[in-house]
Amino acid sequence: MSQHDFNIANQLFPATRADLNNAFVALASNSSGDAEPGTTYPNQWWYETDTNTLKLRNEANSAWVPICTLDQSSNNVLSITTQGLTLGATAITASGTEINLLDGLTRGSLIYGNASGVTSELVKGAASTVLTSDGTDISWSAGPPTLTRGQIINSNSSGTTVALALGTADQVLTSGGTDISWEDAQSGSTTWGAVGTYTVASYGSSLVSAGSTVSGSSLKTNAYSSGHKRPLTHEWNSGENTSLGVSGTWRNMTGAAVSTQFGKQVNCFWVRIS
Amino acid sequence: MPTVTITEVRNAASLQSDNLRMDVEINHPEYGWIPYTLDPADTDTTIDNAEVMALIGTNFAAYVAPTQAELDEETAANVRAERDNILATVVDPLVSNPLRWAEMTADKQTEWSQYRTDLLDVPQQSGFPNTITWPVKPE
Repeated sequence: MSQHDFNIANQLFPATRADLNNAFVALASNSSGDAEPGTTYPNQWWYETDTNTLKLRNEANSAWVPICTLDQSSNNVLSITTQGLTLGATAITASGTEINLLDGLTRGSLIYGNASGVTSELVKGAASTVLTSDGTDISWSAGPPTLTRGQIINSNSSGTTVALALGTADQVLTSGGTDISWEDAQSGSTTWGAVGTYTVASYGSSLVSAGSTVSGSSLKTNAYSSGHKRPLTHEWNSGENTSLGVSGTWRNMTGAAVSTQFGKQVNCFWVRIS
Repeated sequence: MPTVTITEVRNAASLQSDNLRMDVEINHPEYGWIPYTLDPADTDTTIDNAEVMALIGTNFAAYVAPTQAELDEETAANVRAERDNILATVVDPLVSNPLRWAEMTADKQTEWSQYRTDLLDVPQQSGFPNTITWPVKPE
């Protein structure tokens, strides 16, 4: 460790030689010492021994620029002090912590920006999970289910991707306007009054054009009574209709205009649609 | 399991005094606003009638029972209609057909004439319109 003012005084030769040697030692040791040299020059090196920091005097000779800190125990560069390291023409802005993520990355993990915009590690998801984005962040979520024969993928009422099992024979895939399901095909019902039931009946109050719908309570059945065969053009009174439990909504499927008898529309062909 | 979900109803009206049967308009997801009859005996489960009834709540027109006069009038009309139908389809094709009328014996002609008269007099029976003794058709 040696420092020198790098100024050879006027003196006898032995002293001059000693002075020169001291100056050379100071140069060779980068003016090392606990304190800065007493005389400084622009762009002068100084190795601060108490902090093991190599410094360079700035061009204005007004301050020291820390260059690096050495690890004297393991003979290594401990750190480089910088406010912006440039490699080639690219300034390095990552922090040491961020760069170190590359070193400690575990198997399958990803480097990503977390919710705080900080470079972070995303550990790989569980088996069969998939990387998804909610438009803001990414995460691992359950992947599509493994399908068996005939299953289809859809989203359930919770918005979760699920497998819809195969329907039974002859069922058709239908939508209720909200969800899908397998339902029996409606090719006419054999249960009286259910949706899909067809019937011939009269209508009580006014003409109903083909395709129009009426409530079940307004349908009048054609029947027999009192030992006299009533023709189809006859209708029961409304009280008798009630016992038949005519419910729902019925559509007039009669293709042509129908006549009225007894002030009623008779012999229409109806199908229950709802 | 219901496959059609109804979320809107309007213009509900009770059809009977216990308010279990109603006419109502439902906003069907496929057909739009359509008339619909709610009935506890409905065998169809496409629509959850309990849910529709809950949507109606207490917002329905009260049941208006027909008066006895209205019931009697409707019954009388039906009896007359049935009487007219028998005349039109059974009696008149026989008595108005000269060939078939001529084939009858005098007794049979009297029976059929009386039968037709009795049918015409049905509204004059004392029990009309609720207790009717229908004339017996001649052999």
